[in-house]
Amino acid sequence: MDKKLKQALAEAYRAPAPERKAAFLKQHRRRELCRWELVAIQIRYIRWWVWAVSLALFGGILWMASPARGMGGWYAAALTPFLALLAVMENGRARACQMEELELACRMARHSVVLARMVVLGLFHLILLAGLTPPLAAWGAVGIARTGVYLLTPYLLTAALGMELTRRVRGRECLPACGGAAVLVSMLGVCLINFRPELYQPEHLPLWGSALALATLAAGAEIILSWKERELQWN
Amino acid sequence: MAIDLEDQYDKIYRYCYYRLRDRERAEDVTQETFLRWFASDTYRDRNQLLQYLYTVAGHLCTDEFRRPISLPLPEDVPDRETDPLLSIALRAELDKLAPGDRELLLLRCVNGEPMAVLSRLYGQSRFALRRRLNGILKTLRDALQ
Repeated sequence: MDKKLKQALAEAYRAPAPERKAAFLKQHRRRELCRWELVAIQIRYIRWWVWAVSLALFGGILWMASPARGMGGWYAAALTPFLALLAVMENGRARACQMEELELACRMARHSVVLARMVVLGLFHLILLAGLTPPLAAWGAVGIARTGVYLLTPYLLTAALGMELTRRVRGRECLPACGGAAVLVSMLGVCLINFRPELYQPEHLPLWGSALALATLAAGAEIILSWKERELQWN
Repeated sequence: MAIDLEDQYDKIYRYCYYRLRDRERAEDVTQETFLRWFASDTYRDRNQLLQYLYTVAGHLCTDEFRRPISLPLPEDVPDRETDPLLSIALRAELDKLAPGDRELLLLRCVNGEPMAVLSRLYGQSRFALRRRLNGILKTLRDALQ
C-alpha cells in the first residue's frame, strides 16, 4: 500500500483522544509475566524423575569415562542423546496424551510453556555437560574444547531430530519415534568409535566442528519452526 | 507474550469509536472490554488476546448500538498533514464502502493487526482476507485517481 494512501487512511480513521485512558490504566494496571519469569515458574512443573534421570545419566557418563572403567569419553558421549531425549519429551508428551486442544485453551499458549520447559532442561543439561567436560578431558588426555564438541554434537543432533519428529509424528507414536532417534544417534557414536576411530583424531576436529555447527543450526531452526507451527494450528 | 496495554487501549478505542461514533460510549465499551479481560485472566498469548479483545469489543459495540445503519465517518476530528482534497475524497469513498470493509481497513491498515489475528476474527483464510483487502484498496485507489 502506498505511503500517501496509508497516511490518508490513518487521518480518516483518527479518533478524538480518549479522556479517561490514563486514569483507567493507572487504576487497572496488571503485571504481565516476562519470558524469564515464565521459565522460572516452569521449573517446578518439570517432574522429579526427569531431574533424577538427568542426574543418573550424568553419573553414568562419569562412571563410564572414569579411569577405573577405562571406556573413555567417546563411549560416554554416546549417552548424551538420552539427555536430549529428556528435553524433547517435554514437547512430545502433550501430543502423546492428545491434550493439545485442551492445552491450547489454557492461560499460556502451549508452545510458550513447552519452550520454557525445554529452555530449563536445556540449560540444566548444558550445565551438566559443562561439569562433565573437565574430568573427561583430563581422563582422556584431550583438550577441553575437543571433549566439549564430542559431548555437544550428539546432544544437539538428537534434540534437532527429536523436535522434527514431534512436529511430524502425531499421537502416541511420537515418543517411541524420539526414543528411536536417540538410540540411533547413540549407536552411530558407538559405531564410529569401533569402526572409524580415526575420526576422533585431532586432524578431524574441523569435521566435528562443522557437525556441531550444523546440529546447532538445526536445533535453532526446529525451535523457530515449532513456535511458528502454533499459528498454523490456530489458522 | 506481553502486550503494550496503552497501545492496545488506543486501538480498541479507535475500533469502538468507528463502530459507535460517540467518544463517551466508545471509551465506556473499551474499558468494559479490558475489564472483562482482566476478570477472565485466561488469554495471555498475544494473538489469542488480540482476537479476544476485538471479539468482546465488537459484541459490546453491537449491544450498545444495535441499529445496523451506516453513518458517514465523523467530521469532528480535524485533519492534519494529509492533502485536504485527498482527505475529503477518501472520506467520501470510505462512506461508500460496506461497514465490514471499512472495519477491515481500520484493523489492518490503521491498527496494523496481523493477518493471523484478522483471519481468525473474520473466519476467513489469510489468502481470502488478503484478496478482499487488496480489492478494497484497489477500489479506493481507482476512485481517488
